[in-house]
Amino acid sequence: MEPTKVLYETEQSRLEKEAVVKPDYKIEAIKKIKQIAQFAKKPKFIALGILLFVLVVVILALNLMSQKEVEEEAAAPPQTISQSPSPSTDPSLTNINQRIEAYNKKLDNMQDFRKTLSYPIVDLEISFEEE
Amino acid sequence: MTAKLLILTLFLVLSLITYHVSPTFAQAQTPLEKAQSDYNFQYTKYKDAQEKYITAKAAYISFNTAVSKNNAFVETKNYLTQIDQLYLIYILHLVENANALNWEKSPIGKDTAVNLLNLETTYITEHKQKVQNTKTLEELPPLAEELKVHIEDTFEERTNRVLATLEIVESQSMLEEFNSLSAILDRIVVFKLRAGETKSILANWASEIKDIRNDTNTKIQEALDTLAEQTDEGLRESALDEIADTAQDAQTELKRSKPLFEELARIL
Repeated sequence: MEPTKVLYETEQSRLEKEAVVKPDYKIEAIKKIKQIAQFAKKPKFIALGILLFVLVVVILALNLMSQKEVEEEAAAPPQTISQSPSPSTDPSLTNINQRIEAYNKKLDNMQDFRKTLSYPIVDLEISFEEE
Repeated sequence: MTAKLLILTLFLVLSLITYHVSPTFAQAQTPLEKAQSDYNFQYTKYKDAQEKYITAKAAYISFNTAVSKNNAFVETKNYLTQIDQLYLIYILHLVENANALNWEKSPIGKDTAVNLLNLETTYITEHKQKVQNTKTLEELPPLAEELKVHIEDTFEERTNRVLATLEIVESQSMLEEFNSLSAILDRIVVFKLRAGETKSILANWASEIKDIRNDTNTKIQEALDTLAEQTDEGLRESALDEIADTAQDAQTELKRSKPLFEELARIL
């Protein structure tokens, strides 16, 4: 009898055909990665990548700068003065270091207005006669 | 496809930066810093206009054609306009500097200085309008001469008075800060001395503070007296120098307090 053998052969040939048609996904993935890697080697891609990196760094730096300004402006926690049996401390004595620092900063920023605000010197000799 | 994706990403990142940078810098600039920045920018515009005027003038003198004359007119008009604008922005810069000082305890009123600056603003605004109304090249040199004379005879001396006033007010304002801080520290020192502290700096504290206060007061009063002697609306340069030097001496006295306060803070 031939039918069983024929069925087997038909099934086998079907499986062989599927094996040819069905792609191997692992190999495909590797091929894609290789393609991307090859593309990444191109100078344009590298330049774009570097630019992106620089932009991200700039954003982070600006973030850090604005955070630092906020921290500097925030009030420091009040300093505690140790208790003693002698006369009690004045509440205005807290934050004394901050006040001294602010005072010193103003002192350093004092100007000689003659130099820093001198008026502009311009040329107003306007004439169209041949010299 | 990948390139398009990258370009899109770049665009998004740039938009983020623009969104981030604008408010950051807008918040960071005070009116005083803005005034300084505007003045610096206007100065570069003046220099640009000057270059163009010089080039146009040379071309007109060389070729003497209608076209070169018209070009000389346009560039000279722009040059004079930029000069007027430069002076206006400079005056605004002075105003912002005045606004940044503490005039509360000053015997000199802020109004005097501001009024002088307003007078100058009015004059220069009118001059700028005259320049805008000109139609021919021949009208411009007399306007330039008019402004030159005003700057030399009036503007400089009024500005000198404003600068002298700012010098004194700055020193006075700083003296008030010194008095306020030293009063607070004085309370602490007294407290410490009563508690048995024997460091010599604490014992000599009061005499040091008094010394600085007296010397600074003397210098400021000297500057005030010199300013009061100048009865004219304006101030000659020599008088400005005398007042500014005295005010700077007052500042030098105040700077003696810096190491004193710092050392005291360490001890306390």
